Amino acid sequence: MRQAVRRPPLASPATGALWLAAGAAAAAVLLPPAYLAVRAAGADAEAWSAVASSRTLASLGRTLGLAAAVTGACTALALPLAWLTVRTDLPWRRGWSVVLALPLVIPSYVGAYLIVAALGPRGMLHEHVAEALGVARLPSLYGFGGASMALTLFTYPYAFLLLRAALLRVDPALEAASRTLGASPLRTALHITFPQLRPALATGGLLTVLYTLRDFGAVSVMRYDTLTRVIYLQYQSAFDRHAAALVALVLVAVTAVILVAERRAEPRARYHAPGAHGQRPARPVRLGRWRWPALALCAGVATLAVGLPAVVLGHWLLRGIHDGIDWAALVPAARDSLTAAGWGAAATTALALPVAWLAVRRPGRASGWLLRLTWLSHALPGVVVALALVFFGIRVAPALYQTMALLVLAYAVLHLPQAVGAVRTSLMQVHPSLEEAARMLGRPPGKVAATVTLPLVAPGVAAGAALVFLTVMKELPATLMLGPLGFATLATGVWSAVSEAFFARAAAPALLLVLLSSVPTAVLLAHERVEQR
Amino acid sequence: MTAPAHAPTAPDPPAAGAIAAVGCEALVKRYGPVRAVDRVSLAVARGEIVVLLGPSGCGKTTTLRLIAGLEAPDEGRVAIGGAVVSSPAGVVPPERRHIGMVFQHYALFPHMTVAQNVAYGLPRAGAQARVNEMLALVGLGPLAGRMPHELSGGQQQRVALARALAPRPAVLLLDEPFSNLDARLRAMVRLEVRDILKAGGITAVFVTHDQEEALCIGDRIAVLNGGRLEQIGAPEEVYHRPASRFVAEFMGHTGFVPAQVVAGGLETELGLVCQAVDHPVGAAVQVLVRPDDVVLAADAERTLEGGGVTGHVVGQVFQGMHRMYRVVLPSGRHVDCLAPHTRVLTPGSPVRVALSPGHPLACFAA
Repeated sequence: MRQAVRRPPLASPATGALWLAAGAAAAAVLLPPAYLAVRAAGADAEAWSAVASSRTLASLGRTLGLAAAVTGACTALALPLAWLTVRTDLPWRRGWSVVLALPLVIPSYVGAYLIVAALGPRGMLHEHVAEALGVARLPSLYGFGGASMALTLFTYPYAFLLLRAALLRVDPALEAASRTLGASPLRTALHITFPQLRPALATGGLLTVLYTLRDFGAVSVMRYDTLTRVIYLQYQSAFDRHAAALVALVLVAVTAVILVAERRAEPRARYHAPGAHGQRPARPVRLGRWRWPALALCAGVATLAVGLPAVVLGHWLLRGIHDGIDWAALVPAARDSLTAAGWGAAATTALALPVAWLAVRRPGRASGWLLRLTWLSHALPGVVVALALVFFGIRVAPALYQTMALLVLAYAVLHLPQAVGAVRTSLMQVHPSLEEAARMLGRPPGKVAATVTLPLVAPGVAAGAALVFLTVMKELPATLMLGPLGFATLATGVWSAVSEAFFARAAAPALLLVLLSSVPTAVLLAHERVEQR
Repeated sequence: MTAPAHAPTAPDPPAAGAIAAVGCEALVKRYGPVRAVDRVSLAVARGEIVVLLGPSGCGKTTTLRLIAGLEAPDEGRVAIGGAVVSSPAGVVPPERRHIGMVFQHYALFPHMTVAQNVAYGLPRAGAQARVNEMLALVGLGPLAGRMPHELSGGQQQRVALARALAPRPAVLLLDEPFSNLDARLRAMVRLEVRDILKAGGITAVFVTHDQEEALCIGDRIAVLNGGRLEQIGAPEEVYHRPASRFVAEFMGHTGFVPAQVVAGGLETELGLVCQAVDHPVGAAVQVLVRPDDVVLAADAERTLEGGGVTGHVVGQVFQGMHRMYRVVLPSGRHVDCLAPHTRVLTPGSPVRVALSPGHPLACFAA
């Protein structure tokens, strides 16, 4: 008689190790806000009064105002553009839908730089037009106007793509049903089509608000004192770290409130559509005479968000070549960028694997909380994570301060949700019965993981790691604040050149960054095309 | 790695006192407050095919997974070939049970070819020969190099069967293996699969919710409801002598007719039925009447054996081989009856209906 082994059926000794590793990931995400809270608790009355000062409140006001303005402007641009490119007979719809998504490849600080280099003092407009006309000074671009313009032009594609996807998913049969019940096209649009876009509008709005709250590059280039810039300036002046910690916590609180509000506001209705395939496509709306203003809108946005940056980048690149820029300086910057991104992607994916595995294969209260803890990272802007880790490095772990390890930790904290999402998605596509079938065929859990699970999730995990890699390459505030001495990436190269108004010197690294960012965008657009099919 | 080393087993006639190939003893599995499996006991003899039949949520798949070792029981025991492999004290992991399983969606490894799938459970030495043998058995030899997604549903199903049988398992478990096939293919494949299992003398536990499939493939049928075993027996027994109203209703197109127990039989509205009855004389009972238990004569005046009663046709369904007529009786009660497709009656026609002599009818206390 065989002896029964005391062990739950599908557990393995490795599961304990996985829980430990997932706990480490959660601890990494918790570290920055926890440490800031500890420091803030130690703040004296003076620091508190500094936080409550009119200056902080004003920058909080500016932050919220900017977020509201950018979100409003993005929605106002994205909704008509999405509708025009999906549901009308607009000429060159396919072309517009690609061109109008292109601004995604431009990191916000690069976009802000290109706007300043075009329209700002010592910019192209100033050099070529204003001087010829004898205008001594252009109206100032810096501040709210410049910051909201840069953020709107380079973040509206998030809402645009989400709304396009939602419009493509709207079941045309619902609209047909509404028309056969006697509703006019307008009533159908208002009462049937538009309500189905609500989730996409909410998600798009949330993405834009969060992007704006977290943004450091564009507001810094535009010299607009929002919370992220105030935190960075306080960090630089190194004059009161408690106050910086408190301001950072204010920013975390604002972000968290918005995240929670969004969860609460999630609509109760479910907008199911039978899969896109086999669905009769809706008949496009005929624009008639209206196609001219529609074309003008598309062309205008494309000119500002794609054409202008391309021309400006080309101009300053040529200027740089003409002036004899030191190209060799790009090599160490590219090397540092690749090194940081490589370690960042590897560490983030390694931390994401156990969390995602437990969430998918051991669903329950504990793994659910782990997953939620990693989402906390959404509420942590790069500046905040960097500041917390700077303090932590100086006070608690001086051996780590200004080392690659601490920078990589910051990257991991910032990009964990992205990596967990990628791993989770690919794991969910592996039906548990595949693993069970392998067990039934006589293979122990370790062998099953090696021969069935890993080969199947590897492409998805690799794609997730590649996306993190490319996102890390663009990352600015953490790289700036936590990079080891003498560490200079493409991103910090653009930033320092722009802050000293050396527009030509910034052009080459900026172009490299744009080219690198175009890879994940291409993946995103390809995904949309697959869904469309 | 443990190499399954079982010789092909010859079908043994189920004998009293013989060690069961699979034994479940009072199995209980709880999910929260719900008892998904509630004190289920059954024994499967070597070479026997036992079908677990029941509606969705009746616990049949959970019972199968308990036998497989994919779930641990809260109470009770599972034994394979006499050795206890599951009990609340511990569970032998599935990979050490030498059990084959065919999953509902086949669970073919999508990154492996057909041949690699079949070879997965085999020790490397001699794997190739066994793979060829198995693929020949299921008639897929030429497709060995294909990937699973390049196969039709029926072909995938056969690969899954070949893969599960390749390591010569002591027991084969099948979890609704035909549910993804269309009706025509399903009827064909189940006979094929039964032939393969019988030819190899393979002990099998087969889960389905389709009573027709159960009748067709099982040596015995175990009907489950709400986690409990309602009845286990040969297909004829379960069909004709259902142990409960639930089994009766689940096993086919079912109607009930009230009756009174009399000496030597049952007195019903459709006439007297002469058969032995377990209930005392004078008791009121409900008699299980299926459409094939009723005979129908177009001539309303004709006296049928067993008496009969005159009713009127109120509806009919053409089923190809048969027509099913619904007849309203003088009491207002409906009975459905099967007639040859050549007998065409218009709604409203008077007909004579009676209970078919020689069909033993099950009855339940009213």
